[in-house]
Amino acid sequence: MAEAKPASQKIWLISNDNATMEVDRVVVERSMLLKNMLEDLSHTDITQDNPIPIPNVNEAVLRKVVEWCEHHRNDPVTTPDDESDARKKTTDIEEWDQKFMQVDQEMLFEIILASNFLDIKPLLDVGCKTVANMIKGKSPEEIRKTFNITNDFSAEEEEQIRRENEWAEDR
Amino acid sequence: MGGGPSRYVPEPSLSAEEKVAQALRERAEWIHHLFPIQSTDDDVDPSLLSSSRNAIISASDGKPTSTPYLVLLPPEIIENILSSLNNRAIKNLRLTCRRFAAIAALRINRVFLSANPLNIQVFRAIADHDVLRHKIVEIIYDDARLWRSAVDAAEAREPTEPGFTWRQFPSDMEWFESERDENIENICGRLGCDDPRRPEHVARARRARAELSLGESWEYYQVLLRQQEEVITSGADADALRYGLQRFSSLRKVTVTPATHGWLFSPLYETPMIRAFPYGFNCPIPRAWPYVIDTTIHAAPWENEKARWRGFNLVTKILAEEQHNVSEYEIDGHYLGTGLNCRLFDRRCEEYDDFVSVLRLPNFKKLKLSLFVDGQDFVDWSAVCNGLLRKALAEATQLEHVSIAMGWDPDGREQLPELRRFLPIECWPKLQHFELWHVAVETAELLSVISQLPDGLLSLQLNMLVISHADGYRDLLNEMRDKLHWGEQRPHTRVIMAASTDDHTRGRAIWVEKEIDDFLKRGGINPFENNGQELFTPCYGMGVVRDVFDPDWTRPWAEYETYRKLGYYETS
Repeated sequence: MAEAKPASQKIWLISNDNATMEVDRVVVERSMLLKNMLEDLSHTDITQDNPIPIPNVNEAVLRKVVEWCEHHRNDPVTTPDDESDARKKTTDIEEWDQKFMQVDQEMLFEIILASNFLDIKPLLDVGCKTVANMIKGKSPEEIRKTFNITNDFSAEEEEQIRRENEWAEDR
Repeated sequence: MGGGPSRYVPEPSLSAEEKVAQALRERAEWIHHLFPIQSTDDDVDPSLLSSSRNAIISASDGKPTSTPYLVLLPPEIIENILSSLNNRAIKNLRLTCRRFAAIAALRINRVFLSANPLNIQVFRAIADHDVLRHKIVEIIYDDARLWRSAVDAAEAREPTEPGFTWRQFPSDMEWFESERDENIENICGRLGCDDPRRPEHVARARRARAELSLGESWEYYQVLLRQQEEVITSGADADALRYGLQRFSSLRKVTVTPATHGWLFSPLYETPMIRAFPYGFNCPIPRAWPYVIDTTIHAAPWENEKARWRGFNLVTKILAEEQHNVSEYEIDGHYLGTGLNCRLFDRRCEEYDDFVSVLRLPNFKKLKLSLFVDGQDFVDWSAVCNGLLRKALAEATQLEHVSIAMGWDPDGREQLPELRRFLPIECWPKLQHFELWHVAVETAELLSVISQLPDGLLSLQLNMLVISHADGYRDLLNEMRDKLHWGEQRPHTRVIMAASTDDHTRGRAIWVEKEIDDFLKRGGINPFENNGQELFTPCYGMGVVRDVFDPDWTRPWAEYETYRKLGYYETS
């Protein structure tokens, strides 16, 4: 239980396309999934030859996720209380994260799915806000075009949605 | 008044058509002068605007993708994305395909009602919708009926003199036109020294520049008026309210207000009626209830005047008669210097009895009562202090939240209402939140009343008070600390005081909380320490200025130079 966890302790991860990478333990612990897993293991269990497998996440995506965790390695852990405050309908994203998210759509959605699987809530939120910003200010047709959505409405259905939309305020 | 184009004195040699053309030209020039163009987008209806100028541009933005990644996301992630979107964006997303229509739910938790068929239609549609009807927690009854004529509008400002008008208008059309000018000037007034390029002002300027013409606005208004009269005759709004009380299973709050329309192009509530206004529609802002402008107008006897509070009467009667779970009732003048006519409490009447029935509801927890009390300072506050108001309030023994606001023009009279004669504090043992707004108080009596508030009190708001003592808030705070030992006695109660800004813009106030807490509990300085500023105003740097009509309008309390440095004011 009371094992030493020096900041320099290394962890090895392996992507689903068999790329192994060495990462500081504190960085890996941005992932709640991996943090909980590591707490149940002795620190000698994970070695370069016995890395933690990350299924569903390929090398390129895993490297991006690790890059984000590196940058945010010292961020304070958010409590559920802070979270509800920070999550109110703002789509402000800090500058570094904005640049980080300047990737193609496939990568953006892969990052979102990986952060969801690895349980890295702040990264998941940044990803979701980025998508929200891509939706904001666009007409339905522009949203369809951006995300390759097929319009599968009948004329009647669309009219019904339009009518319902009129019931709600814009705020 | 006065700043509008001078179309009342046309050149005598012009033909009628030329006069009209000239008036239109002058008006357009005037508005363009008031709202100078910012960019080429500014004259365009934003709903027609395609570019996402405010969106953060990411590399993936705008580029089509061959795989519909968004559609493939699991529902819990879609939910996360939706939590960052307002209804405006959700509406557009819902219109893309069936999947998003099904999972991107509109955020509707309140519905509107008024003497308007569109509001009634939407209210009923939501009441008939088997998902949405369970989400509604609040009904807002908009009691701001449209003015029927120049005389109707003038009488609300001078109810004791029927037929009186402030200014003679040759026709209602000319009154209508003059009110339109006032609305435009009012936007400029509220803009003050602010930089007009700030985003919150650009949207309004855009609408002003696209203002709908007098003729078109007048025509649209006449239709609204006819519809309003039809609803009043048929009572369709009352029927809808009865229906809603049965259908909205989570309903707990009802609000009646005349403040719905806010100011031109920035309504307090976007009711369906207001959302359906043609772009740039400008008409006299309805308030319906008498409200203080700058002279005393005297609350008139209830029996003569009660039709002006039609919404209040109708809602209170129905709440008194029907079965429902409503536990919160707000009669909200929204700091416009108006409220329920206090003369209702002169003597018992049908409306008084209905109001008491609502206050008596089991579990009735929250009351906001804005009272129109103008002129009461000349008659010893008889309607407020004769005991009937107190008796009514004493029936609500489960109250946790009480807010009493008074609309009147204190013109130097020293007569004060005795708080105890209308506030039955001893009957509210469960009180957690207590607010007084613009009530005239004597410091010693106020201290005695607040010292008797129950121990469980969580917040105390003493806002815009008219304090008899010359040193107002400063002495009140000193006494709370030294005589009531507030810091030790009530360590868990938030104390908030709102004071008027120096330009007295309606709805704006300086809210002081943190500094008061520091003063009462941690030896901080008194935020109202007189430093040469106006009495009742906190020192610069203390408190936050907010606008109760616009949640986005907020800034520190500071002097001109600081606002310039912070970018609120124009720097050129």
